[in-house]
Amino acid sequence: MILGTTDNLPVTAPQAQNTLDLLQLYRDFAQNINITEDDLYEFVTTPSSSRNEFFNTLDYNAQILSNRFISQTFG
Amino acid sequence: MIEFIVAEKYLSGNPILITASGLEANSVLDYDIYDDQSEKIYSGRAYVLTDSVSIDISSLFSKFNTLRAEWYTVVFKIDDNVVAQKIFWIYAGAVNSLLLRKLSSVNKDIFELKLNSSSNNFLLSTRSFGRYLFIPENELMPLYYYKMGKNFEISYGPGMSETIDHTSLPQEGIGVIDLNVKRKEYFDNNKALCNIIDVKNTDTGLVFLSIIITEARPARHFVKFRNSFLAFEKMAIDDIVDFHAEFTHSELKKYDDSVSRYVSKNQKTEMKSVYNATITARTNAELLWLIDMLLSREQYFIADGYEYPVLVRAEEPILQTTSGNPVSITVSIHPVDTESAFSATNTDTRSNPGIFSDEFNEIFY
Repeated sequence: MILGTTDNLPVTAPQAQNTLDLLQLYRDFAQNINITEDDLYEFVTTPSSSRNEFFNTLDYNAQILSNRFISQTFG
Repeated sequence: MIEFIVAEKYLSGNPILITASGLEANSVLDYDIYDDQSEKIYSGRAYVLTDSVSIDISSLFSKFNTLRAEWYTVVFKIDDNVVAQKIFWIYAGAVNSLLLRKLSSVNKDIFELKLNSSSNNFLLSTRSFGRYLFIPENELMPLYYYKMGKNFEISYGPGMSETIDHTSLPQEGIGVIDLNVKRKEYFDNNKALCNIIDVKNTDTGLVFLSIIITEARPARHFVKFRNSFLAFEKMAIDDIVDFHAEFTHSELKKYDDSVSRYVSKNQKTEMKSVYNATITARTNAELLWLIDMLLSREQYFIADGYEYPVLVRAEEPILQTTSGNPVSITVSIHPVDTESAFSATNTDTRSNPGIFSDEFNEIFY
């Protein structure tokens, strides 16, 4: 089956700068002050609906590089 | 003058031709093949009808089914006298005939183009042969490459890079880049999460490969397989669309005294689980990669973190498109081991209900 055309360029997985800010935001989001950096890493690198929900609450920058892909940077 | 032509390197799954020319017509050429421990693994004899002979020894390496590279020696003998000996390397894997033909027409081989190149995509992934390698986040697996002669720099992002120099390595080996480990290291050291990894040529400083970790495919099930270079890769399956059971009856012939002949009796009815699923290839490169998966001889179905040996077969012809439109195909997944039935939805496959107590399972599983 050949599907219709798509505009879905490969989008990079979520990137993050300054994860120390992100850690605080994640603690607020999860309402748990005991969340560690390792917990944050596990969370942001494991695809899930709650991760999407969390990223939707953040500001992010999208970039098109070399006209080939879009990178998305959070935090 | 007698001339023996043996290439330096061969792929185990492609024809491995050794050629001798300038021989006497109607003569005999003996040859012995030794492994890297100097143990003779094969003795052969070729009958020379004209003045040259070409021998394909690829059947000796048909059991080369894991990722490796080994060297061998071939010794040629005429009338029990050693006339020449040559060393050659066998690398695991194969490339298709179309590519072989194209490479041979421009007098190149896959080693120069990819496997032993320091300025091309040399990774043993068949996802891409080009400048960009896109890997969805949930399909990350260690990336392998052949080490000999490689000298490159990997940049994981601002603040973390490493130079890998194998130029002084005396013989071939297998190197690995584990992006899961490196991403975590980058996160710990730089307090950031990176997804674009550049590989540069150390001498020229030019980036020849970008590995881009893309958004996860929305999938819960995967197929892990050995690609045509025999490195493992992981592919997401869109979803299990249905499940059906196949029944097979095995028969037993039994001698029946009352009618004095053998009669058939049903012995056992076996059930085999078959899962249908769809896989989408969004680009032509992905379509080729999908074909590589379907041709693989070693495939595993990954469900809930467990792996089951399976055979994945296409249920419909794969149409090559030149438009670049995504293609979705239905595949059937047949468990190889009929005893271990698995369920795509059952998460508790470890414990054996009714056999051990919950306390036992908690401790030992």
